Amino acid sequence: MNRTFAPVRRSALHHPHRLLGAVMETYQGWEMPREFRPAAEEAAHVRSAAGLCDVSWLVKLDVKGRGWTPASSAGHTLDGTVSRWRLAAGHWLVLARPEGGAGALEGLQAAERQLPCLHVTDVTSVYCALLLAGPRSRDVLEKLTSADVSDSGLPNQGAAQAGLAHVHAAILREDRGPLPAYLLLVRRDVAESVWDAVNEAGGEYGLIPFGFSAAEHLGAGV
Amino acid sequence: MAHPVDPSPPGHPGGASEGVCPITIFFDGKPISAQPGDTVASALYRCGVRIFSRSFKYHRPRGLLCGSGHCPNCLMTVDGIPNVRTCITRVHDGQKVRHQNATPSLENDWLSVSGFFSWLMPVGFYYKTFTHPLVWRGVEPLIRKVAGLGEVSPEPAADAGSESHPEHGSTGAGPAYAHIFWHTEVAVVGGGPAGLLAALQAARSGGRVVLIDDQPELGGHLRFQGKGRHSGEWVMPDGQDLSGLSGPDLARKMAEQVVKEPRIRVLQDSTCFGLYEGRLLGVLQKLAGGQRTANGSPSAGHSQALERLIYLRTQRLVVATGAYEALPLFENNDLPGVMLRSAAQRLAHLHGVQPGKRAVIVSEQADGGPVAADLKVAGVEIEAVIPRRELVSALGRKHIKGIRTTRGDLACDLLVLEGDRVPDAGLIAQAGGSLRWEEGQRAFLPGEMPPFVTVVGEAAGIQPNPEAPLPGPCSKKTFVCVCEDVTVKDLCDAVQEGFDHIQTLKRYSTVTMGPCQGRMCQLSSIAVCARQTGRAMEQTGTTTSRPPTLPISLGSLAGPRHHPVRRTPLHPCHEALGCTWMDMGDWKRPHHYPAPAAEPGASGHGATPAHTSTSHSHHLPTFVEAEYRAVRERVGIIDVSTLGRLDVRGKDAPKLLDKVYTNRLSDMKLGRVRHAALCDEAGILLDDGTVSRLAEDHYFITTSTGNIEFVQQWLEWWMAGAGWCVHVTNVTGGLAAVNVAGPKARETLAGLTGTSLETAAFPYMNCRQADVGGVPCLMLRIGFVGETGWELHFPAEYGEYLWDLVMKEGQPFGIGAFGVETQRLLRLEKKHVIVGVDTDATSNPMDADMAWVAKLDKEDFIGKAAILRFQARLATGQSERLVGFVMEDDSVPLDGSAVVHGGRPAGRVTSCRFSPSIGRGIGLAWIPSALAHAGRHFSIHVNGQLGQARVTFQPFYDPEGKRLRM
Repeated sequence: MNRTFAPVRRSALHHPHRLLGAVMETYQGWEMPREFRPAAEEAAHVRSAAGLCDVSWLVKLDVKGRGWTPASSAGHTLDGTVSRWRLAAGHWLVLARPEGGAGALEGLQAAERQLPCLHVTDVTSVYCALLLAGPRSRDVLEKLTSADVSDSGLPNQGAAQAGLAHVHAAILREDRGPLPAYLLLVRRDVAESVWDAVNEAGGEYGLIPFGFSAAEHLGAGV
Repeated sequence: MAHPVDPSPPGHPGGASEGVCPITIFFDGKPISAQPGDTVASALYRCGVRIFSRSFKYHRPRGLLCGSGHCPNCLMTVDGIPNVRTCITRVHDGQKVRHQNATPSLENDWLSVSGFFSWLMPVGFYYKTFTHPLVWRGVEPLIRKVAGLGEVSPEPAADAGSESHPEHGSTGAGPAYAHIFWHTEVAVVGGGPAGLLAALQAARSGGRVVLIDDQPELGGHLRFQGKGRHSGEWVMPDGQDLSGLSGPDLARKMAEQVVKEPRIRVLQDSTCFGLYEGRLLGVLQKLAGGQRTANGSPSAGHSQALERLIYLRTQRLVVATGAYEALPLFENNDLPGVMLRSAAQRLAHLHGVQPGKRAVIVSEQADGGPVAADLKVAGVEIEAVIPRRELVSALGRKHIKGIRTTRGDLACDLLVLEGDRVPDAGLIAQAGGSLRWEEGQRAFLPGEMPPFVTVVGEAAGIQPNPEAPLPGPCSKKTFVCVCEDVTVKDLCDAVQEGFDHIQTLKRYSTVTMGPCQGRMCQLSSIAVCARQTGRAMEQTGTTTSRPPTLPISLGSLAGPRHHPVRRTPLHPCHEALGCTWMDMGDWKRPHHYPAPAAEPGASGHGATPAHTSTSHSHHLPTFVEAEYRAVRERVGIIDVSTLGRLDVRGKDAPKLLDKVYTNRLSDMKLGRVRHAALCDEAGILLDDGTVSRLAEDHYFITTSTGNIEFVQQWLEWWMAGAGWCVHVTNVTGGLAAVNVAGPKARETLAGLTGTSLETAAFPYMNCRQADVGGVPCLMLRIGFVGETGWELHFPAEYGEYLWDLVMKEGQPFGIGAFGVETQRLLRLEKKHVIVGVDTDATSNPMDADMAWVAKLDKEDFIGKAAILRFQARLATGQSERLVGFVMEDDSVPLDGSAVVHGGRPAGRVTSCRFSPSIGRGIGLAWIPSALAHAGRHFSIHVNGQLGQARVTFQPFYDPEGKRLRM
């Protein structure tokens, strides 16, 4: 067969984004919202209040098995493109920007071959990832989850699994410099429901949706 | 979407200090001007309102009593919310206040005639009178009208919630009730001096503190003490000496320090109503629809919610709830104008309202103590100060006119009582702390405490009460419980009748069970019980304090309405086609699509399930017919993304699957698919689906919709402790899935993939990993609907793209989307059982005619022993069997219709539809095994008549399955 195809990858929130007037663009191989309003405005607002950004394009790898230690124990973020999160004993989640994803997967597959019982499953499609950032982000989160998301309960680079807006979620704290930020991973099928719930909870704290352009302004993070 | 970060609340002065705009509130429609800092009750009192409520049973007039939110006397409906304690509710402009439980008005309440019949209503009235159900049925509506408190509006709570969209709540004002979850190291309950000091100390030692106070301002009783008189040493944790300040100044200074302290979160207007397991405090915060300024609260986002329920988990609990005054017992002790000391002081000092003109003070101090001085300052003439034992009764009908004492009558319009001080110990009891009677202080005080609880201030110990509580005369006019109109006479009678334990006395008489939860009446009811039984207070003991310690609204417990909805990746495609949705668990699935417009009678709306329209029609609904024809004659496509999908990895995966599934799966060749079923240890069918082998140590499993979490847990349960190398990952949300089936399915897909779809290369019950339209897919060649077809599982983010591509590619072949209703008909023609629809919690594979799923020659599997027993039972003919049937007439029984044998119900129809290929109604039914022989007839109850059905074990459509293998 010599036909060529141009598959399009869409997040579960594609249509809610468009309803909100997002400017859509291809980003990391996905159709993602670049901005909902001028990106500089979005970034400034997130820095002063709170914002929610769809980062479903993140590569997500589920690593199960004993005996695996992340390649670098020095840092949580391995090289700026990959981060790993311990969800439970023998259960890790590796997040990667697509440019680091292939490398991360290769590294893990090598480990998979060497270790007696280690399995890596690509769960990129399984989870919708939301970046909740800003000084009021914790206030928003406290309305949605009974997990302790205070500085002592969930310090930067800490991971928790908990109910969030009545669904199961992984809550990963990944501050952008001094700005508190959380990655919320929920199953794709409930993404729209959670998106609505977070936006509603955030209303009183001035939460806005923001696009990948402003997200890049906020600083490093996978 | 944009919400201002910190909007100034409109038209509300917030604290007591700012005197900006005039405030008008409306009481029963009448405008009343109020002052900044007023509570609803103080504003009403200033305007001359003296009757604030009518009592629960006898409709007696009731006035301000405690002024501190403890008693039920000031309950009114405020802004549509019933039973609001108006004495601790701030005013705001435009507030609408309505009286409760009185017709037509509080002043003239017709229902107060019920007071004349009080002799007809002895204690235990209900138990004694309404012993016949008919009587109760007749009387209940009347009682409902006469008794009780406020009425709940059927409309959503007040103004804040009315514009919100509960389902898609990102617009509008948001829900009326909010929930929030906080975690803290120290929770201090009570914002009086002891609570403020404790909070400052805890914060100073490095802890995060949440301070909870139910009053509009911090400072507790200091706020309403006279100026220039506060004694004692007050040195703050930072060394600042505040000794010598007046009460209100001291309160203000301490509150300022607390508010400044960044480690302390202050929750004002907030009631801690209970302590639950795991050191969880329930705190209800009144937000007044976002109009408050939350004085100093760092959490002060401006929620539009009216009330916020805070789930507060704390490591340590400081109980600084202080003490309250209980109502002393004497005749007519509930008359308006009879007031506890704290209420008089609050009115005078906090609100500048003169509580009366001519007062009698009941006090053990000859000069009347501080309250006498306070009243004099407020311009009240003190008629007399009398000790409590001299007080006989209050005189007057709607308001106090005087009192009768042992030494004669005195005229007055205000009777100020020094009530017994009672430590507020509800939380202490809930924490597991004990309460013991202290003869010295004449009060129940906290004894042993769990290590995480500290009790400070008056809650820990009070100034000794001058006298033990007086039980009062056994009179029908002496009220122990003002909430439920329980009198001393009622308690005396109840003890006489044998309810002589304080706990049974409580249950029988309902004393301590009203809105005040015993604050006004616990001590005096114990005193009455002790006297009547001849026991000591200590022996009599206390009633049990349970949460909630104060009434809270059900709406606040329910919280914001949010129900998660699961959407498939193809949801927008179905919406574009105008499908009619159905709920399947949390999932949304297309029930059907609109019929082609050309055909009359087509309708995409109205989710009437197709088969329920009529039971005597062989006409399928047009939309089902169109969808059915597409699949049987051309090609159809259905979204099956709701199927559960599990990725099972590891060298012991075959071992695990052989153990839990009834089939043998370890001997499957790579690239093969098998139908498989799960049973429990009792041989009951739990789920079924397909198992595909992708590699030696890699399986792909599908489960039925909605069963995925269960199946995953089931597998993990049987793995636990086995030490096997196997990992199960739920990949359901990550994969879109469609089933493309029909005689033209191959042609439709062939143009999109390089993989050969010819039967020789890709036979039935095989799977391949292949690119379709440039998307990596797992293709399963299976046939639930009975036609050649492929189930495609692929990454969800490509969902819309691939659906659109397949639809476009299939257009020349006449492709049509089909929904759940048509799928159910198609599978029924193939006699496929749906576990959970055609089976229930008692069905096993043998009786369900699915013996082929159980490989009984396998060494062992979960449920094998039980299934062997079921197999043996088949021969005895004692079981029910699931069989296929064809109707012999034109009728189509409804799902659930009864199978009738020998004039009795003998089974039931689980699924039945009109089959276009047979031209008759077909279905599945559980029938006695005696009838379960091919060709045998049995009767089904259809529309009041008996229809004849014929048993068949063959699929109704393409029994040899040739079409699947084409």
